[in-house]
Amino acid sequence: MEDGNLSVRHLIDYYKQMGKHDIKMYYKGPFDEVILSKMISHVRSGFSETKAGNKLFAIFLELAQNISFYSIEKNILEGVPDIGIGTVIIQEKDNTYTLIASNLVGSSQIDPLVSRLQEIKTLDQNGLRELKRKLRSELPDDGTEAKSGNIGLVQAALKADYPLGFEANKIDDTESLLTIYATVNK
Amino acid sequence: MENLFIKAENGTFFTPQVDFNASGECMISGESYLEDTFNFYARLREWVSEYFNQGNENLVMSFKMKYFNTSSSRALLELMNLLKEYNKKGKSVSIKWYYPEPDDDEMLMEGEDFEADSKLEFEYIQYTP
Repeated sequence: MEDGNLSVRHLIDYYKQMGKHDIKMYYKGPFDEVILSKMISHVRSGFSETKAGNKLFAIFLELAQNISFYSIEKNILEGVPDIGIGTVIIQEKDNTYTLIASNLVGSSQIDPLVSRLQEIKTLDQNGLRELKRKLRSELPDDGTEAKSGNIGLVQAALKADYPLGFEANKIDDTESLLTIYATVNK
Repeated sequence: MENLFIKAENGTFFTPQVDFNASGECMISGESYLEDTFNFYARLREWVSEYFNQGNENLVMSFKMKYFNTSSSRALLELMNLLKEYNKKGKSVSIKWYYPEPDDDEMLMEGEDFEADSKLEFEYIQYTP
């Protein structure tokens, strides 16, 4: 194939890379209801009714909904609008599972998100509970989704056994790639 | 006053079981992750309002939740806030918050946070799933 096109070689290399990191689940695409439902089933069945499994499920749902609502990259296939596109990975290590969620964020949104994540990272359990309560009280009660506050991130942080990790990488002047890591003990 | 019963469902979304009895014994249980959280819980709030507006004086609301996402958390708080309003008007409102042992999902902590925000007094009841 011509240079610049995705080749089988690329896919093989990619597959090998993934294999090195003990990936239990990987998905990149639109986070619509049906896809979410399938992934939820996979997370729940894959990890049974364990404490780690329940935590992963709760974290997954919050971060996946964040992608669905806030990703600047939208699904335009089949004419379905406004479904965010992103990536979710669950990686297994000796004593932990790490859930990685990644999506494109607009340039006007990235700084407030990073500030919020930095704030979340500094808080202990009690601080996170207080922040969750504060953000929950600020959520609109009229059924509209809040487009700020990111209470889902706080809830993910509460469920994780380690502080949330994150990276924000500028792609160009209009968008950045935000990656969030949440780790739970087995 | 009609009872309100909504059967729990787990499919694309998770619907909690709602068992509101005209005797004043009410329970919400299971998992809550809904397509339309607002309208689902609005229906519950409407039932509570109608119950008290018909002159009933006492209500016991039990929560036995296994999971709820953050949208549902807000909606549950709204329900509790409504109950608090009626409590302030002289109605008797009791809240029972069930949490499992082991409490892997930290339901006791969730109840404590709801109690702090709603200013209602909670009775905490441990159960074995």
